Amino acid sequence: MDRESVIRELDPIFQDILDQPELTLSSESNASNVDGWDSLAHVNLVMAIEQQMRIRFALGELQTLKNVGEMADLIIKKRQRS
Amino acid sequence: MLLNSFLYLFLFLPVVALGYYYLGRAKATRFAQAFLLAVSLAFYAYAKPEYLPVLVGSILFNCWVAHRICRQPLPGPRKAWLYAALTINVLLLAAFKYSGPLLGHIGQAVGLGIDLGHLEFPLGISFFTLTQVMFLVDCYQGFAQPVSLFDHATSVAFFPCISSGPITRIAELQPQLHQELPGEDRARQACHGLFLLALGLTKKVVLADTLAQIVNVGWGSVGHLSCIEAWTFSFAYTFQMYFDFSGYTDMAMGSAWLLGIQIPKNFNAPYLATSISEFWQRWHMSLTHFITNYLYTPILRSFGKATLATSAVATILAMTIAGVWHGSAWTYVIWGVMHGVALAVNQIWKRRKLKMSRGLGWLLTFLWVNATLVVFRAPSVTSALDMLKAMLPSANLADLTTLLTAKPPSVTLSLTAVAVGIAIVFLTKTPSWARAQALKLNFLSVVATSSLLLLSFLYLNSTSAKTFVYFAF
Repeated sequence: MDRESVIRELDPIFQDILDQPELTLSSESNASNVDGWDSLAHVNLVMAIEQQMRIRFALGELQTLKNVGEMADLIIKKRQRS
Repeated sequence: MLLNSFLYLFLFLPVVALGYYYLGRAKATRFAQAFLLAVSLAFYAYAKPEYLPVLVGSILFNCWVAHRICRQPLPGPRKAWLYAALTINVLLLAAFKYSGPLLGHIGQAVGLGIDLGHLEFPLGISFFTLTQVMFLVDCYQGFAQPVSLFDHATSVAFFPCISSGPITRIAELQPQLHQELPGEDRARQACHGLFLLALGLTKKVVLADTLAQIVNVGWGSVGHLSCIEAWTFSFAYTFQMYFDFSGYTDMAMGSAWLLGIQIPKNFNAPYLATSISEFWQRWHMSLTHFITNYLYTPILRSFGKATLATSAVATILAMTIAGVWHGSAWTYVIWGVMHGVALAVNQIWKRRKLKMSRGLGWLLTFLWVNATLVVFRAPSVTSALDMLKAMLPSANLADLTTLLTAKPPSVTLSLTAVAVGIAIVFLTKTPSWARAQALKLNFLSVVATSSLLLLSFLYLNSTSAKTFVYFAF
């Protein structure tokens, strides 16, 4: 499992929550360069990712993520631990 | 001990900075840390030694619980330990901050007609409680690991942050207690810290304290103000609050840098924000981080799905809790609700993709923040309403009688300094800490730091040190 494959898994979740069927994420995608990714969408994204990937984010670590690349790295780490 | 006192500036801080540096350099980092813990506890006990057991008790309890939580293999007991500890922390805070007024209200309601008094609460209790609540949640969720009692105590009691923040994660501070910066980096950071300390001290004693004298006159005559006076006094408090709190934070951060330690940033040009959500990303940033991650997100998650409606409820609830955290007065509750409602409206506005020019956005944000600070500063809800009413155009539009009695001593110098300070707030996006970080160490920076310190000492010498606004929380 590498960063790129996790990002491809994230694509449909983001497309669904942000209602953008054509959206393709990259490592550098973040709240300021993805349309509609506001604090509200962020909580929905987190909940959807947790549900679909069967992981749980700690409240404190959500703020430390700067972009989709870092989110993917954290998901890899969490999957390895579980 | 006040950060803006001669005792702190000429004795405590130099002795601590030199002691910590030389013990660290002698490869005695554990001694250096023990020294830091001892002086932090002495700093805390200086004003009211009787409250030291509250801080020590809170540290011992929370450190012990953090270890208990992480040792529990089963999720049920882990959760039980967390919830019990959170309840005890909230009860401790409530006992000191809210029990007096609450019992007073109950006494009135049941017709006892007696004043049940008001407990004076320990300095910094709101801040060291939040720091440790955050740590317990992080430990429970596996985001942080419990540390030794020595490290826990040194991080929580760290003197630059203990009285009014910034709210600092134990996990951020603790590793820095064991690191050794190369001598050159340490010296550079200390010089930047000294400049930041000078900037903060100037903001506090030259600007905030001058404005405080004007503001106090205004609030002393709140029922008799003209429209122009009411606006002037309200703006004066808006700037007093910024210079006071950001000045304190600069001094705290500068003091920490003198020891080679980084703490979170708390302000980033908040009065240039063009929306209320941007304002909260720039104002008291360490509290915003706590509200967003440890209040708003779990409340919203508990609803199951984040919609505009549930988000609005979560926002208003989280900001109301933030208001109550400041104190038991209704004015703080209303202040929190006002910010919560504005944030909810802002979110709906953005979701509907409605447009507003940046200029109008800035103006509305600034005026709303100004109105919320009227409520925040008011001694009662009635006074707040009186002040807000006086700000509406009325027959008494431009009488300046009260304003003219609010002249600070050495009017020209003080008001020129305040005018320059306010101009800097509006004309520069660079916050003090970024300015200090980018400082080139040369003759000019020495002159700038010395001049700011000298000017501040002159002001300090002419008046007794005034406490920081946020020491009341």
